[in-house]
Amino acid sequence: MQTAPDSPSAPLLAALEAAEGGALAPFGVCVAAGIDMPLLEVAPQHLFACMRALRDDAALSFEQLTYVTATDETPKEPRFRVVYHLYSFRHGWRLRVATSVTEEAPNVASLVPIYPGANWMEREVFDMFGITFGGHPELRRILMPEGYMYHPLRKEFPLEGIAPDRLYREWEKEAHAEGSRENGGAH
Amino acid sequence: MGSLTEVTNTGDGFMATTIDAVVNWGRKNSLWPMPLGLSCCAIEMMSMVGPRFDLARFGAEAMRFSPRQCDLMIVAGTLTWKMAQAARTIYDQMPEPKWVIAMGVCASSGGMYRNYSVVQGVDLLFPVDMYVPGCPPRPEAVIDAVLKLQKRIERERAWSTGRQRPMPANPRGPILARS
Ligand code: SF4
Repeated sequence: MQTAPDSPSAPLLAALEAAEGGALAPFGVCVAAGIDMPLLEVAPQHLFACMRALRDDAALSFEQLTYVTATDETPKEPRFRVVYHLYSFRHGWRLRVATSVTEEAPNVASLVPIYPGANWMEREVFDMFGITFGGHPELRRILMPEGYMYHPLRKEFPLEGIAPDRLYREWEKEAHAEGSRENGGAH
Repeated sequence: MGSLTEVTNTGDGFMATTIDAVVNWGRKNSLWPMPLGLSCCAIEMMSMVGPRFDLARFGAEAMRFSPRQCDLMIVAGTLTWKMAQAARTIYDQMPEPKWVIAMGVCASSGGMYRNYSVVQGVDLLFPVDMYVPGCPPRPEAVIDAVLKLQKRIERERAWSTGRQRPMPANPRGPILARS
């Protein structure tokens, strides 16, 4: 970490460095200075415990989960990165936490037990990327129609989108029922 | 009322006409719009009904928020796939005969939102009679669409049962940019 000692993120980096030998020691995290805020990489199996440590450790105390998102890094392996932004009210720090998951097993632990605000944001990531969050109380789509079969922010998804087949099937069924009602009435 | 013929040589005032002409004359001069105001275009639609542009001059100022009372759907705004079910239900609940104006490029073709979340033209969901380009179109442009639609209504068959227009088919798969 080559950060000038007067950089705004220097105190956070120092605190993270100290925590690497303490509260964060079991998780094998990797800290980088980042461009806008420090970046902490953690393996998906340690994410949940690591997040709890980040929130509960008094020297860090990241009380708020600001944002959850993901990126599709195709053709890199592993394919997806799930990214979390944290904010510490006590210190005024921002921290980015990232974890990588593969295409074959795109799942991480849900953070809803730690940060209840993660609920809808994790649903959005599930909707857009198909990444599942183990232990989420209600993991269903939030932006695309129910029963949609694709995850639109994956790189292979076409730009103009794919029509939701399920809606059209339902409409065809309704039109069919309507048609037979009208024919039945004519007899 | 070009197709009405006044017969005056008998001395009694009566008129000979066709049912189509009379019914269509009534329909075209009393369109009741269903304002499907979905985003920014809806603001222009409101000003179109307001006193400056005054859609009432053409008999179409009675906006009703119940689809069961309407016969002209004005889709004003960006229709998302999430909203598609609601829009289609509203269309289905409008009694026949009914007409649709796609107001603005968003409703006509998806406009600048060339992406997964926006319906790339509401004619993917139900038949559209008039497309009004513009982002947003000026109120005069939409009034012009109403007038053109009135001309078209004049020529329609007044009596028919069931759906008058075929519904769009399932695109089945990717929606490629339609030119
Ligand atoms: S066409 Fe333009 S003004 Fe109309 S809804 Fe779309 S973005 Fe808004």
